[in-house]
Amino acid sequence: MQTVQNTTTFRTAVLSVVKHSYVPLGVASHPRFELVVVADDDSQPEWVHERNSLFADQMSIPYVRDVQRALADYDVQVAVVSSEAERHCDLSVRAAQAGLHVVQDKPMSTKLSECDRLVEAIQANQVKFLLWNRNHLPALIEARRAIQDGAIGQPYAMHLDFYFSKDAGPPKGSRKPGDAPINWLQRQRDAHADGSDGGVGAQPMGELQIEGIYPLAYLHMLSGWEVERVYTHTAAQFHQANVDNEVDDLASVTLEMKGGFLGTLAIGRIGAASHPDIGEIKVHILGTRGALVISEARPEVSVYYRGQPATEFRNIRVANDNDYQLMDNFARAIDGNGETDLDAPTGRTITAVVEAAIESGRTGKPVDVV
Amino acid sequence: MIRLAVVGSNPSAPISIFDPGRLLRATCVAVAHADLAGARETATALGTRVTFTSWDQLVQQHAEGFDAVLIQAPLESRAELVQQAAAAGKHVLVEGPLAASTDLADQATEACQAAAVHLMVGHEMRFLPSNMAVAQALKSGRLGEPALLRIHHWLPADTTATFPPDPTGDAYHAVTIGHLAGEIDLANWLFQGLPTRVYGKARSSSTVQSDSSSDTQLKDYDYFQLHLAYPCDGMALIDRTTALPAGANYFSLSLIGTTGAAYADDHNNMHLAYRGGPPTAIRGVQGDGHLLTQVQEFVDAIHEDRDPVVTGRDGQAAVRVAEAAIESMMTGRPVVLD
Repeated sequence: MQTVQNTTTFRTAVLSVVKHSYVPLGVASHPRFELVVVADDDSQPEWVHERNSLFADQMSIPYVRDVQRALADYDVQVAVVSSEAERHCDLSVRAAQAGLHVVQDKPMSTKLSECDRLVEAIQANQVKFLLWNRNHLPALIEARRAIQDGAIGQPYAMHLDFYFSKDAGPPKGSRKPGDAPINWLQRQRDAHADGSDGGVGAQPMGELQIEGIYPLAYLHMLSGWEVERVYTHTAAQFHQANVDNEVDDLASVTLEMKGGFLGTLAIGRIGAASHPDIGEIKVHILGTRGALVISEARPEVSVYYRGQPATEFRNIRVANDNDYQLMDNFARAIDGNGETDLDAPTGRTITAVVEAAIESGRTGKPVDVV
Repeated sequence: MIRLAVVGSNPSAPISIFDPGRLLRATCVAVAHADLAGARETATALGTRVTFTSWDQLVQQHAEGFDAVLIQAPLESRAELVQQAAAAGKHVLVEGPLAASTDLADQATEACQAAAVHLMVGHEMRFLPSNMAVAQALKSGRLGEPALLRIHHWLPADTTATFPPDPTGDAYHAVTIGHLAGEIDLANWLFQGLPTRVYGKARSSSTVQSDSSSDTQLKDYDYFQLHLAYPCDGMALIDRTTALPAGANYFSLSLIGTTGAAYADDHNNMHLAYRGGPPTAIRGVQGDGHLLTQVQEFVDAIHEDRDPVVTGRDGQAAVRVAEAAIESMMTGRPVVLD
């Protein structure tokens, strides 16, 4: 039987693009999504407008300093939100209230209450929501297939390593007496050039908050387990900005799941010197009939040459179709075929796990996830 | 030349698996074990013909003929054997863990101190070439201070493990210490100290259970995970299972330091075999050389009249942390160590 493929194109508004542009570019990688306008609130500071304007110029689309007007004037069906983290949910809520489907950068928010507001808006307006993730990387697809095929029986424990071997400004201990503490937002703005501004925003965020969504989304996709309780150690071991702003750059988490399943998460921004590539990112899964050890980076190709810059990755990931697959899933969800890979309630749940983990790290006690 | 006697002749025990021809400044002179056939098998492998059927017989008939003992015995009897060896004035290398409880470990350690003999605990994972390379990188200062240690150690079920005829909670407690102490010692060694907080979880791989635990439920557990906090914001995650299907085990150790990192992972050391269908991974093995290194360290420590790399205090510490982990598993709460 031949199926008829839906070819409807979704006109898409980019609501703020102050972080990396990888999310809107990822959206545009799918032929059914067309970026038609960049928009943000006029009240935003000038550096925000500069970045938005730059991206609009690169894409040869207009930049409008009025979100509501852009949504009304450009006949858009989808919004892509890639602002500072603390503005994520508000922009997404406004898009949902305007009847737009929403693709949003991670983390979902810096506040659980904002996630709740977004979940409610998505449901009330019957639109689709996708929280950006890496679940379609080839290694994760292989892992999911192996589990679904029963290769290791019933999984009972899962361990996640998510180390980004990136620097984040001056190393810990570099602040001299009398120097002012590093301003988080300024540091993130400065980091834009080298792409290490994942925590852009006025509110400081640790690695758990910035990147925790990725490995916890792996856990959700591979197992469907629900985290009930966490126990965490956190530290600022590497970067002066994290020390000055009292947020972690390294954390270990014990994950206790409903049904008695167990797991752990090791996460950190461990410095560029600590790995030849982007970092050690692995998933270890134990099952009743075997085990899986998965490297998120594979497949990859190694390239070495005379005069190679020290900062260049030696191993290049290949066959990465994550962006397209995420958007294909999103398009099918809009067409009426189920939920997205990482919908708003799941994103909210993951944010709650992160929040509990941070609380546990602060108190030294296990914390229930609410 | 140090004259070694082996007590307990389990041919698969790690203490006595080494090529005696490669051991420097020491020789094996006797083996004592209740199973005479087993004793002879071990004695032959170690280049001696002198065998005894018990420790008592060895001491009574051959006390002047040896200087040190290598003890490989069930965990429940190790501490007592260590004390007897110390009383006889013999240096001791005892299979790890040192004892079935912290109290027994204390008694064994104190007995050796009182007798002025050297006590080394055979936590052989310290001597694995990959782990030694990590430790050397750390010691050199290139990695900075240890920040996050991650160990995965997965093994197939040990079908040779036996319990006493009428096992009690204490027996299961001891078996659990046996599961945990090796990796704990490795973590303590790399962090050069004891953890300040211990959080432990355990499960049966076949029947995932609720959090309620008891000593007798320990017998069902074949999966353990530990979460340790060390001074200076150090942390360690350790998971260990004995529920892999029969076949090869898996070991992975990664150490994130404040200025660098080291990754010693079986995953990165695999060969491939193509025999139709998907390829099969063949692990690059590190051999048994680390067991010779361990015995050589013991011999060298005696010659040089210094502490061995793994002291009785280290052995006691591993048992103490394992007991804290068991307490945490039982209560569901982290345990704070002084």
